[in-house]
Amino acid sequence: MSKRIMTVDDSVSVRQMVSFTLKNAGYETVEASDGKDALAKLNSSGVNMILTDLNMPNLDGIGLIKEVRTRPEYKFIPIVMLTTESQDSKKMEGKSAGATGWIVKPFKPDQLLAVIKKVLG
Amino acid sequence: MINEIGGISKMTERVGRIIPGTEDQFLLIGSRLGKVHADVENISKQASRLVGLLDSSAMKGTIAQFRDVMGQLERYVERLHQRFESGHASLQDVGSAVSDVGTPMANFRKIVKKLKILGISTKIESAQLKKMEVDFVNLAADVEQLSELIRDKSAAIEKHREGLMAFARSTLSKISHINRKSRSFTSAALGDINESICVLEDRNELSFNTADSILGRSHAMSAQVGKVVMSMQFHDITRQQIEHIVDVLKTLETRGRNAAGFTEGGENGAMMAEAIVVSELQKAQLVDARDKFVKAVRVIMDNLRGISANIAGIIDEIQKMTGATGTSSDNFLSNIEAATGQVMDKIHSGKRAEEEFGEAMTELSTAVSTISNLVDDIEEIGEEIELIAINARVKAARTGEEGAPLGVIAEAIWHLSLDATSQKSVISGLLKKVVSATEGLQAAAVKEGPDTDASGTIAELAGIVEGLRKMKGDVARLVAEIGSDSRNLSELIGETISDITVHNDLEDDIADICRMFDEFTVQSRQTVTQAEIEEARRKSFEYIEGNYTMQRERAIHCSLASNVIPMDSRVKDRAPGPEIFEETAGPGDLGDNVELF
Repeated sequence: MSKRIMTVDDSVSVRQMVSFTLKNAGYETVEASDGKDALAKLNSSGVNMILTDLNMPNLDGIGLIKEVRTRPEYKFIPIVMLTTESQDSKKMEGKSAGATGWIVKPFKPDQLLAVIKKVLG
Repeated sequence: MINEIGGISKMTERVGRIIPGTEDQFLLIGSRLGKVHADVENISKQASRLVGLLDSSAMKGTIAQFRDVMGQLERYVERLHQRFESGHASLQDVGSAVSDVGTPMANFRKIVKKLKILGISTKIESAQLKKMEVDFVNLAADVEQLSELIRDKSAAIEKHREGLMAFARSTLSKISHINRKSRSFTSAALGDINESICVLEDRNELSFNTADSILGRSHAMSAQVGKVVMSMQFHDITRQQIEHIVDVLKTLETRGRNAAGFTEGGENGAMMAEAIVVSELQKAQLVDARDKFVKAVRVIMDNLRGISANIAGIIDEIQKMTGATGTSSDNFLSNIEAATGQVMDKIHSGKRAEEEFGEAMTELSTAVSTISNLVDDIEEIGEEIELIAINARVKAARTGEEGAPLGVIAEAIWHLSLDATSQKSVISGLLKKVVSATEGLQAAAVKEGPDTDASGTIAELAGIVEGLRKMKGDVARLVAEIGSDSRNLSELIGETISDITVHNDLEDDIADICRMFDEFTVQSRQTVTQAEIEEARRKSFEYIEGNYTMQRERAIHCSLASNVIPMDSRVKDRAPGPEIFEETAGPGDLGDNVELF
């Protein structure tokens, strides 16, 4: 059975490219437009991994990670940040919140898939 | 004051309107990219299947079958030639033997003449010997009868011989014609089969190279799709950079309002200087955002064109491989099928020639075999002459001295009988040679074995043709599918590229806004001193720095406000030029832009 990955980004075009890349590699995808939308969809979607942007309206990426980690069933789910933010201080903030990894945009499809393969095993 | 704030407000509003108008085109490109990618995958798979078909075990099997057929044909042709050559030689032997019979037959004509004279002489002499008249009259009648018998028999033999000579000559000419026909069939059939093998091997080799090339093109197209995916993200990157500019301008506007405006001198003069410095910075950020965006769109267009070119390249290679001039044609397989059909026809012709040869040889053999009956006739002539000679000698002896002339006649008949016996033996020997030569004809007429070579070859070629026909159908279907899919894909890509105007619109838009920035700066500079501007540059604008998320933004900030932020030389070196992929994968395991915790 294919793994399901949630992509969280307020940019429709980024969600489109992430979903395009993942679907072509055989993954199922769930899209959310911000952290709040992601949390609303999380329970019903049965996702195996989350790819999230940092700066989003309503609830940003760090806030989303913190919320997700409070839920026992998602305590160990891989969460990778996919953002234009490249500052080390932000990365540390993400790591402290419980992020599994950090990818600075733009990503190459092969690169994104390699990261997913690595964190999903 | 109000004018400056209004100017900033106007610029903020114009900058804020840049991105929303561009997203639709990106989403359209994104949705079409999905279709392009699916089509590329499909065409690559079809092309690989096509190449696999021509490089398959079935194709290799066909080549092996052709080689086997080649062997069979060579064996068949060799046997056919041997048979024709041996038949030809036997035919010449028969002709020569029949011709040889002619010479002793001419001697028989002399014997007949002499017998006639002896018959007359016997009659004359018997007339002078009254008392023995009856015996000699009978002898004279016997001699005459014998001369007639010999004349009739030798005439019949001569007629038969001449008939056989004519038949042998016509059969020889027929056989030579069949042989010539067979030789032409042989070289043509072997040539066609060889040509077919060469074409198949050539295609097999070509398909191997094409498979490599198509694989290479598939990888290139995957990389091109990857570059499009990567470039598409620059819409979001540009959006964020422009949002940061809007945020800075809004903050500047608020700061200006709070500082009671941008007026000359004192605190207000410093505010005006800050507005100039901040505007210059934001213009630089805007130009950088524009350059990245335009470059990204051009990369998208170039790579879409590249995909189109690779698809055209695949079609071109397929056409070269299949020998097709159009995408639905399948010339090379048709040519092989036609050539194989011709080879089959030629083998059929060869079989017919062989049958004709056999029939001709059997016919001649049957005709020649009748000559053996003539041997008995010749033997009979010899015996008759001998009998009459003895009779003549006995009768001559009975007549005593009076019959001395008859004794001479009897002696002459005796010598004639010896001569006739000798000629009979010669003819008999020659006729036996003819009969013996006929056995060679019979052997040549009968095939050495069952007709396995030709029938086996035809059956095998029929199998090859059937296989080729199926392969031709599969190839034609795939070539047609690839052609149709490629045309659709090229149209889709062409349409998508022609729909992309967003970079030109954005360039025009930003050019207008840059003029607004320039006008604002030029006008504002008239109200502040250079010292105030330098002072403004030295200030740390935290509200600007706090907005940055991208390395590139920081680099631009550093390059313009070098007095404000301590420069990291590495960052400074990287500042010029919009390298759109600068922050992506490097030589690391997953790339420099990836960090796993």
